[in-house]
Amino acid sequence: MSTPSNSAGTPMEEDSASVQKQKTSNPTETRPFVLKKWNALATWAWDVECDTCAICRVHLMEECLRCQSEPNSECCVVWGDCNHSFHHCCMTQWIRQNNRCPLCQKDWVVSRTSK
Amino acid sequence: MITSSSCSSFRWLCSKQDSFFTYRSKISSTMLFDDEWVKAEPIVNALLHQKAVTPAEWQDLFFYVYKITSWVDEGPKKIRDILTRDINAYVLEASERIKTLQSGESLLNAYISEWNRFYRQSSILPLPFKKLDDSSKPRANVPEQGQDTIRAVMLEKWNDIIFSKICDQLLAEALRLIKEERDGNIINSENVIGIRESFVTLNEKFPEPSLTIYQKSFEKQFVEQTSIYYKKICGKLLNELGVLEYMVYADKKLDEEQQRAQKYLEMGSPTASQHMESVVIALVENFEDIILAECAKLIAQRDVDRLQRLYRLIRRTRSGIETVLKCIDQHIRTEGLNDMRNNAESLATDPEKYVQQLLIMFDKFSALVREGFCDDARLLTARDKAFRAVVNDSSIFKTEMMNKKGRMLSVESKCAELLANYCDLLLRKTQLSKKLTSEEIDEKLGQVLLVLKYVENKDVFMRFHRAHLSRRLILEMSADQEKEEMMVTKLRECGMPSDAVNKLSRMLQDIELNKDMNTLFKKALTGTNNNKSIADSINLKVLNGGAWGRGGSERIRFSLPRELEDFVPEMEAFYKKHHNGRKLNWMHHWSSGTMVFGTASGGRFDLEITTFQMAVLFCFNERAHEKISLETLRLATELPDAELNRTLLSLVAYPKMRSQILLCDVASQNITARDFTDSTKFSINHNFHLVKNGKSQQRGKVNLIGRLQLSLEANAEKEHESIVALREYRVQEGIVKILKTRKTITLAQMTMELVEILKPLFIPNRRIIKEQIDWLIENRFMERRPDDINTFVYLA
Repeated sequence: MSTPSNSAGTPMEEDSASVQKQKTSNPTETRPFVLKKWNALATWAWDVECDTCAICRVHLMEECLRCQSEPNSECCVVWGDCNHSFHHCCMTQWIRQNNRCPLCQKDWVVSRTSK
Repeated sequence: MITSSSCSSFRWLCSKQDSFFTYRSKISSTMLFDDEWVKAEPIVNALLHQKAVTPAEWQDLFFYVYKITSWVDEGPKKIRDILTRDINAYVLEASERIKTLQSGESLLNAYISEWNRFYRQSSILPLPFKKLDDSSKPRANVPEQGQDTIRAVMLEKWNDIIFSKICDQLLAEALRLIKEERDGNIINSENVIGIRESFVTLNEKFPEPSLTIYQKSFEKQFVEQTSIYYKKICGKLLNELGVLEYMVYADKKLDEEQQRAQKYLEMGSPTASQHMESVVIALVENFEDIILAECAKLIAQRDVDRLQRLYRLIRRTRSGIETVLKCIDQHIRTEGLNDMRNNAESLATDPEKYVQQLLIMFDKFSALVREGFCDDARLLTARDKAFRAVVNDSSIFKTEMMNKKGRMLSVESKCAELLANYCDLLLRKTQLSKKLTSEEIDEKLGQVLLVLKYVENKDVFMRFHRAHLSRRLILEMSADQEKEEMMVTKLRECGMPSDAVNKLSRMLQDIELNKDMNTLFKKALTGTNNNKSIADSINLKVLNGGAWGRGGSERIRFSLPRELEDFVPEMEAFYKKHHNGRKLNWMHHWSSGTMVFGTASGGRFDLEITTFQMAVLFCFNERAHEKISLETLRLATELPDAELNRTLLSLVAYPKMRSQILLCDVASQNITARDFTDSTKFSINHNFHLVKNGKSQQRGKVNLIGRLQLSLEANAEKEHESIVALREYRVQEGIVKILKTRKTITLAQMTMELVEILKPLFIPNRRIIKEQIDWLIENRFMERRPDDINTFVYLA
């Protein structure tokens, strides 16, 4: 966070107190701009080490490769005990051949899914 | 004369049957034929001569015939012989009556009246003798089978004695009558019909298929005569009347001939259609070129009455419609493009006008096809084809599609983009959408979908539509949430690719989810902080990164003003508590807010602005009367140059506003971002005011968000780049899909199937297909067959 470089810098507490006050008060001669409403906006994503599925190479926030071509609303994300995550559909296919995490080779144990 | 009451008499016979058997056992077989026939003969003769017969007599006749056939030796044969004799005698009599009249017309009249009576009788007299006919049938496998029915005997006698002798005369006479009628005189059509009946029925039983004789004589001559008749006069008429009047004549004659054929020809005949064919040849096809030469002119004049006539004539010809189709196609293309070109300037910038113009044209052409050509399916197809060409024409409104390397891949119509813009105008809170009623908006959206059907680059439409939708949802500018949902459903219905439509509906769902979350958030704020004012001033949206596009690369780093940043930890803490395992990416370039602006001169304004604009304006707090340089502002906000310049420009030179929020020391009248340097100084405009109805206002609301924010990609060029990139993937995907099933395929076949697969998105041109094939070959997905470079083989 930064304020204009030539600002004399009022103490923090006082400043936020004045912000609070301004919520109800009107603009003043020295502070002509007062916030009335802020529509903050963010997107969310899974908080994971690697945000693409190592199996199908598609971003975890999107449906896996298979489900994109054959629409399936059930496509979700799965986490293992090793804290690596993949598309549930991709992982189901994977563990039929090899019950290890494709990223760290530890035994695959599901810790949770996004559903 | 009696009408058939045979049914009742049969019933009577049946009830008496038992007594007949006893009767038979009593009397011997000595019963004499003549004794019984004496009683029957007068009745038969009365019937033949069409004299009155009482019901009792009629029933008796059945009885006599039954008796004779049952008990008299050789009874059936005897009856048949004597009956044949009687019929013969009657026909001879009739023949005499007819022969006395020699001249053509009276001969015909006499014949017809005799024939009609005889013909009617031929279906009555045989009824009592049905037993004879039946008894001759079961023995079908006996050599001398096939004794004729009584009716056939009657007709045969008639044919032998009368008709075959005078049929040529009669036919000639009938044809003369038809010619008379063609010339406009009234004739007794019964006579002609009678002759036709004679030809048809009298030759029914002969070994050849029943209608052969009729076809060979009556029908053939009728057709020939028709053709000769029209050939003689048509050429002359065309010269005298001119082509337009001639069309009236031909049209009328075609109708008349059609009716005439139904009246005078046996419609069951397999060659009955020959008549109309020859009429069409004589009346229309012989002059087809001259008539078709009028087509383009009539279309240009929109003379629907004449066009309809022309269509009625041409529709019957074998190939004339092709020329009409060409004319229509040509007309729509030139007319459509001319209309566009004439208004090109206003249309390119005003999507409403553009779409309206397209719809006006579409209605115009549809009306032309409906009124002039009765919505003939072939013309509707031609209309669609030509209209598609107009919609996708790239000579007037074009978009150049480049790929990342800056190579141009295709030039396309701007239609898709303008359509999406128009949709936005209807669905957003705009002056246009406020003016219209809900039904009108529905109707107009329906029209958009109608035009969309003709658009080839549907992926471009979907792209822009999605960008507009996210803008509307994020800024809460949708006029009506229900309409948004309806639009998504409709897009799905009209076959837009499901993955693209799914994204739209996920966005709508996401917004719904957010409403609940926002309520929760506000409750949490009031609960913990006891601070209602924050809750009032903050509105939080957290969107699913997958549905709204991962903003990662587009995200712009900058320093949030302290006044706003204070809220961030609070919001993050709240979100973490409710959703474990998720992280938030702040999309400040999509966020916005409202600020109150108080000027030194006492004005008070609500400014609806983007977060970037807020960041700049907050710098002026505590320095309300100072001038701040661009360099300082950059240090304070940490906005990238391009973004800072854009933001500043929107504050010093917002279009269509008399006075601006900020002032700067740039001298030029029309300030552009290029005029800014690091030392350009900015200051608050304390004389800021709004002008409404020519009066200066000290209070009011200003929206400075405009188009500034949320062009999700920085500009159209980038937008096009990513569309092209996506197309390249789609083509690759399509090719591999086709190869997987076909294993080996020729280029032509591949192109065809590829277009079929990708049609809902865009029409791949030759260049993109070729490039992607090369790429796939290079990457060992496929190879050319050594002996044929235009055939590809899939490499698994």
